Amino acid sequence: MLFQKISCVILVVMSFGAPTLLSAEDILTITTPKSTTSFTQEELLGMPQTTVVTLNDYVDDVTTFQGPSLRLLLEKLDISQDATLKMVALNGFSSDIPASDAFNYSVVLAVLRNGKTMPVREKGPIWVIYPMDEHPELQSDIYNGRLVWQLKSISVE
Amino acid sequence: MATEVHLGRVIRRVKFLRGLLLLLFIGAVGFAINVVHDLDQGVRSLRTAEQNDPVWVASHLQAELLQLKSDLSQFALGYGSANDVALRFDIAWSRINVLQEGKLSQIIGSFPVDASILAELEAEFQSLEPAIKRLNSNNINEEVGRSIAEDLVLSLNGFNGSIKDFLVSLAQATTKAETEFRAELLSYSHTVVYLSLTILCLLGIFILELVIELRASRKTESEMSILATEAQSAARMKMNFMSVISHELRTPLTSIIGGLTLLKRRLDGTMKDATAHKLLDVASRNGDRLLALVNDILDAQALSEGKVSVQRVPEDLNRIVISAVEGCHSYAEQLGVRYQLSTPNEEMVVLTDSARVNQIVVNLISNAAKFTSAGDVVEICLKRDGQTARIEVTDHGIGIPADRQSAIFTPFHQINPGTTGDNKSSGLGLSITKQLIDLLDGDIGFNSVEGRGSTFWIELNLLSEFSPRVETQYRPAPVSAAT
Repeated sequence: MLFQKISCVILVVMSFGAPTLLSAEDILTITTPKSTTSFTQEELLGMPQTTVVTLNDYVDDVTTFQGPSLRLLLEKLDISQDATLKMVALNGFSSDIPASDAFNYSVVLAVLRNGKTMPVREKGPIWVIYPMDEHPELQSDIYNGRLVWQLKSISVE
Repeated sequence: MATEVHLGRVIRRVKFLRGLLLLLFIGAVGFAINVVHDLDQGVRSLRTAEQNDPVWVASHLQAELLQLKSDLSQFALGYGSANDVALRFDIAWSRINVLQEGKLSQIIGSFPVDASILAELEAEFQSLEPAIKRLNSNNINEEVGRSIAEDLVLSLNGFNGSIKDFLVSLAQATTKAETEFRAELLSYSHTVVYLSLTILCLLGIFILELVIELRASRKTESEMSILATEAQSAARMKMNFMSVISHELRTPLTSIIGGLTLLKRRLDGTMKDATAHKLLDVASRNGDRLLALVNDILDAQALSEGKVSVQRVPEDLNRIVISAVEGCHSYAEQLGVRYQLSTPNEEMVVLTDSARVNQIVVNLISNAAKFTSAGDVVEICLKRDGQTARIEVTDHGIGIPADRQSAIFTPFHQINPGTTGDNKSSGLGLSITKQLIDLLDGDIGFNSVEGRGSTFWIELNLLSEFSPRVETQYRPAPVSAAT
C-alpha cells in the first residue's frame, strides 16, 4: 500500500516536473482514496495555464484569472467526473463541488489575479474561479458558493 | 344603396372599436411589461442580497477575529506557532477586504448602516501588522513575543462591541430590505390582479366586438343573398320570357317560311316579274334567319338550364362532316363562298352524339362563310392526331382582333357588330358550340389574325379499338361504357 502511494506520488511528480515533494511551500494538497499529492505555487504555475477573464460578485471589475484548470489536475490524478470534490479553505471552510463542473466548464484554480500572485488577505493563494461571464447560467448562488477562496486542499470523495 | 350606407357605418364602427381595443391592449401589455420588469428587478436585488448575504460574511469576519484572538491568546500562553497567528491574521484581514469589494460593498453601501468600522478595523490591522511580523521574526525573545501577543489581543478586544453593533445593524437592514421587498411583492400582486381584470375586460370587449361583427356580416350576407336571388330570378324571368316568345314565334315562322317556299315554287313557272321573285327571296332568307335566331335562343336556354342531353353512339366523323358541309352548301353559295373538304382515307369513329357534332360543325362552317368575303374558299379538314380526331375550319376573312379573342365563346359576342351587314347573327353560335363540345367532352379552340382569317378546330377522342362488329355492341351501351 505504501509502495503504491509512493509510486503514485513519484508518477505525479515526474509528470509535473520539478521535484518538490517535501517543500515547505506546498499550497495545495489533493487527497484521493489512493494518494495524497501536494503542489507548490511554482509547480502550479509550471503546468499548462488556463486564463479566465470574468466578473464575479467578489471583484469590482472584470478580472483576469490564471492558473491550471481543475480538469487538468483531475485528469492527471485520474479522478472521474462522478466524483465529489471537497474544496477546503485555509480557515477550514469547505464546499462540495461535483467534479463534472471541471469537465463542463473551464474551472480554474487561479494562482494569478491580473498577473499577480494573491496573498492570503486577497483571497490567495488559490481561488477557484468559474467562467461566469462566458456562461451566464453560472451566475447563481449555487456557483457563487463554489468560488472557494484561500483554497488549501481538495479531497476526493 | 341603403346596404352600402349600412355597410360603411358598420365598417367604421368596427374600425373604431378595433383601434380602441388595440390601444387598450398596447397599454395593458406595456403596463404588464413594466410590472414584470419591476418584479424582476426586485427579485434580482433580493437574490443578490441572499447570494451575498452580508450578515453571513460579516459573521465570518467576527468568527475570524475571535479565532485570531484565540490563537494570539494561546500563543501568549506558549502554545501554537507565530506562523499560525500570522496566517490567522491574514485570513481575518481578507474578510475585511471581502466586505469592501464587489457586490457586498455595493449592498452594504445601499443599507443605512455605519460601515466605518471596516475602515477602522483595516487601519488597526495595518498598525498591528509590524507587531505580527515581529512575532514571526527569528530573533524575538519568547517572553517579548508573549507580551506582544497579549497586547494584540487587548487591541482587538476594543472592536468586540463595534463589530457586534455592525452585525446587528446589518441584520436589521437585511431584514428590512426583505420586508420591504415582500410588501412590494404584495403590491405587485394587487397590480397583477388589476391587470388580469383589465385583460379580462378587454377580452370581453373583444368578444363583444366579434359578436357585433358576426351579426353585421350575417346581415350583410343575408342581404347579399336576397340580392343574388333577385338577380337570378330576374335573369330566369328574362330567359323564360325569351323562351316563351321564341316558342310562340317558331310556329307562325315555320308556317310563313313554308308558305313562302310553296309560293315561290308555284310562281317560279308562271310569274315573270323579277322584282316579285327578289322580294320573295328576301322574305324567305330573312324568315330563315329569324328561325335560326329563334332556334339559337332556345338552344342557349336549354343549355343554360342543363336540359340538353347527349346520346353517344359510335359515329364516323367523315359522314357527319360531309353531311354538314352538304347542308351548308347552298347557304355558302348564296354568300359566294366555296367549301373545300379534305377527309382521311380511314374511318374516324368517335363515341358521340352525331346530331350535336353536326350542329357544331354547321355552326363553325356557316360562321366561316359568314365572316369571310365572297369568292373565298373555306377549308374544312378532318384528320387524325394520335388518338384524337381533329376538325379544322379555316377561312380567310376578317379574323378576330387579339383583344376580343378571350371573350369569343361568351354569349351574345359578335365581332364588329354592324359591319357584317346581312350576315348579322345572334352572337350565340360560338357560345352554344362551346357548351356543346364541353358536353361531348371534346375540345375547341382557334387561331386567328385580324384581317387574315381564322382557323377554328374541335377535337374528339377516337374510339381506340373500333371495328364494325364492335359498333353493334356499342350502340345500346350506356355512356359510362365509353373508353
